Amino acid sequence: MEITSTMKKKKTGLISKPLLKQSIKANWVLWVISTAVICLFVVLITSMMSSSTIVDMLKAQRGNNFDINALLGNMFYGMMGPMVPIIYIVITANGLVASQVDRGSMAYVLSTPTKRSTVAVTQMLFLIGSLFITFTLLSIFAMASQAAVFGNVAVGNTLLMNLGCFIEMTAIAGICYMCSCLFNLSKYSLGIGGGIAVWFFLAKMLGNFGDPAMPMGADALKIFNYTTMFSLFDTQSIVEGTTAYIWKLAILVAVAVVTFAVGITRFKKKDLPL
Amino acid sequence: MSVIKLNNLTKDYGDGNGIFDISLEVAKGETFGFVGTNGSGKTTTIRHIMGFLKSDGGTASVLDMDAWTDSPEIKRSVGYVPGEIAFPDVKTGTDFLKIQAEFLGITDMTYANYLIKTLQLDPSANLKRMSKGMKQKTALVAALMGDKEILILDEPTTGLDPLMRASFMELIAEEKKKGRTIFMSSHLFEEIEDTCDRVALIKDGRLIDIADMEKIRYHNIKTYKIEFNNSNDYKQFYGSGFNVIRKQDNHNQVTVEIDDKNVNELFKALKGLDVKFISEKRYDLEQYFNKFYIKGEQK
Repeated sequence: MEITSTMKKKKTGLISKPLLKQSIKANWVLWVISTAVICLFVVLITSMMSSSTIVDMLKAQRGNNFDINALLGNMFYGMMGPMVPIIYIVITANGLVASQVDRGSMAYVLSTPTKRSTVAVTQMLFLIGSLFITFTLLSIFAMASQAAVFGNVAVGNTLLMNLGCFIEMTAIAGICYMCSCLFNLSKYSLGIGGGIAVWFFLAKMLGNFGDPAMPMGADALKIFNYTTMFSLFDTQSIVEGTTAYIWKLAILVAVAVVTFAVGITRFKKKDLPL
Repeated sequence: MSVIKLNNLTKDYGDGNGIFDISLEVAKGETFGFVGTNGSGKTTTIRHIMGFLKSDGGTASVLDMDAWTDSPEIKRSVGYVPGEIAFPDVKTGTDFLKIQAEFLGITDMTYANYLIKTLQLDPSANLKRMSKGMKQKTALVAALMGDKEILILDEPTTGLDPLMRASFMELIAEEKKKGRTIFMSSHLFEEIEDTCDRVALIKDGRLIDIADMEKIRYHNIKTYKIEFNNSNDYKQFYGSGFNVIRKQDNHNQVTVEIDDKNVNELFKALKGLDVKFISEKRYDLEQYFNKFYIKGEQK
């Protein structure tokens, strides 16, 4: 029996289906948990708002066309929302490349005709794709709960909030993925990629406390807003209907493009201890 | 035609670590052994052949393709067992082998199942809970199931018990019969000398020598150890002109080297002497390479 002769000479494409399958098998549990938690979060928060005095005020001001995103924007999309996806991103980005190089299991993929660039692109698409599905589901749950609780849905702004948050998460995923491609040891990939992500998150929280909208009276904390990339997701601008959020999100897109590109390029050229 | 060709391959990690000016050629259908102590550079060399590492100097090529730039193309013809056993994050051995088959474009699992049976592997077991030997068997199946022209095995028998090692060696012999080119590293001389046609010795990153196993197996100079029951006979013997390489007066024992064609001289000389025992010391790879090792470094 000669398997070799019957084997099709498949051209290796940009994406490796078996690798994608492997990545799904390895990461789906964490993805399901993080997506479920964030969706549950938005449902709970929206329903808790139904009886708040702030919502009553909003209703009085704008009638039935009020936008719950005015409240959810900063609080949910700006702070709590990203927390769960960040955990998913930090762990998964490391697991997609660095940890497989560190442990040596990448050898099994690269001892097949799969190109390094195919590996790097496939893993990137898995990471971005999984986040995209998360935020698609989050948009659906956010709008469904708005419909159920208030009877009206702010479709446009809800989609913009989710798109913005998705772009922000993709940018941080790019940074973590780049670290994952740069380092052969998990500890450096996790430490540096995760460290940056955690810093951005904490700085955003601290910065928020200095926000004049928040009655904390700690204006000096505003300075932290300049130390976190997350400030570029301008929820205020979306709610107010100004255009400032557009160029800020464009920067986040640029960060994502550059970091993923650097990661993939480096992975193609570096020495792998496999 | 040489299948694997290393030409002055060099990777300098500094402080004398790395590999330096490794040159060798492995012919089609040849089983090539690669021995050396831990840390001597075996794995580093193999990683260059696999295209995982970029050399600082010299070249590595497989099937006349550059090992670094044409790595994906080369892999169509290569089965590989890595030196370290770490599997992807999937649940069972079956899951792993199925995905691996997909990577390799294998749709017919007949040969994979034959390998599983031969190695007595239970692939349905959880990968993380497998013993070292089980993991090694799984890795072997993954490398062999593609039925590739070239096999590159980095210490493939690590963790296998003697029985499994024997059935693995049988598998290798089968592959050899099919005309496969096999490049295999080990720090165990015995397993290398039974299977390989030629064996390279690497020490401190440098290729010391390449031995032809045929010459070692059919070495015409044999070594005999002879002990006599009395010192008179002992003295008479070693005075009779044989090439004595060692003598122990207090045991009346001599060790002599004799060419096969002169072996009758030995028996003539022993005739009438009171011999306690005579034994032949087999000439093996270890003995052959011993001269390259400084005492104390020997594995």
